[in-house]
Amino acid sequence: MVLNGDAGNQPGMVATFFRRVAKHFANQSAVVTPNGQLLSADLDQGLEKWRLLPAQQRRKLDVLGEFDASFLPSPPARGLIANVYSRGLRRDGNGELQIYKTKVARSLEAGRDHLWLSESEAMSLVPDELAVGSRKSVDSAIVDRICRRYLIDLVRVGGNGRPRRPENVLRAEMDVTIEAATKSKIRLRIDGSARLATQDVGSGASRDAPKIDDYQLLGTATYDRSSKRFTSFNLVAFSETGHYDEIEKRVLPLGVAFELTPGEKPAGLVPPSSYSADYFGTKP
Amino acid sequence: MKITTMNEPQHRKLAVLLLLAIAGSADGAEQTVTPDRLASLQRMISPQPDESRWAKVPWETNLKQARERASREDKPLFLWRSGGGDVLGRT
Repeated sequence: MVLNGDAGNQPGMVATFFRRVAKHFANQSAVVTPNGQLLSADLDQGLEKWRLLPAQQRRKLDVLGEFDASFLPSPPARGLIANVYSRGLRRDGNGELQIYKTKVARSLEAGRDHLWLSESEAMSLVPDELAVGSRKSVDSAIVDRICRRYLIDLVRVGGNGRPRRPENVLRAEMDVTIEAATKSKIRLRIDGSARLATQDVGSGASRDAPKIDDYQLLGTATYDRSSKRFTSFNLVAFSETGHYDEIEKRVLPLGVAFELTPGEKPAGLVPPSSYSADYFGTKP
Repeated sequence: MKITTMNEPQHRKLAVLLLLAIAGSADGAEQTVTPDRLASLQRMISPQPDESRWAKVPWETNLKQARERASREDKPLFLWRSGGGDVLGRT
């Protein structure tokens, strides 16, 4: 069972459960009973204590309040779900890109998130004229979502994923072009660019001026004409200055990669970290 | 003083190079991601084989379902809560 730090803010069952586990339980793991009894922070000790519990206590399941399912929205039906990875990079002596890792734990792995596109949004990526060379601009709502919610320094903030403000998208454009078309499949190329600003503390922005990063986007996607679904979606966004190591005070490249996921496991179905009522562009 | 002039082929070559330089630095963003480097860059950004072993765990993200399943199967819950970062997205 994995939950975010703010899960305790959820009303009802989740909050009550966490209060039972510990007064403060964050950035840690523990073995607990289904009823929220903390057994141990150590896995082996926790299992040992579990075995010693009476069967009735192990299975006990108190009513801890309502579970508000709205905190766990489902992905859009027949939509496009993509895993998103974000990583700080560096240039080596030859100017080649390498993975940037430091002693700081959050630099040791890629940042993670998910991108959701509704079915109609995914369909809108395919140009109307299914001929090689046919080109169209990506819907502004999709461009805005990608730029504001995913072209962010997820590594620096450990994955908090707060979206950029609308005014911080200084320029953004994405296009799709049909590279190949058969009776069964359409192969698309996605390319674009964006100029994005941030004033976040620790982002490398100065007190007087925002940090401005230029991003290049390039990707490919395959659309299956019979199922009307995407069977591949690979997109990379890159900025030479997108990452900021606030400890070393270094501006570094940032790469963000998107890949289609079937969303079959619970972990693949969790909402985007910045999910909100206006995620799909409709205000509540 | 030595004055040199470009002959026609040199002139054309320079013009082509200038065009390439302009195209390559459009809007200040150098074209690092090219079609032939797309896959390797995507692999570099994505989790490496020696990383994210925790991600192999089939985590549950719905506490209600996890509690009911644990009780039904007579198993404890192994609970992991992040400290503000969203490890999998919004869970």
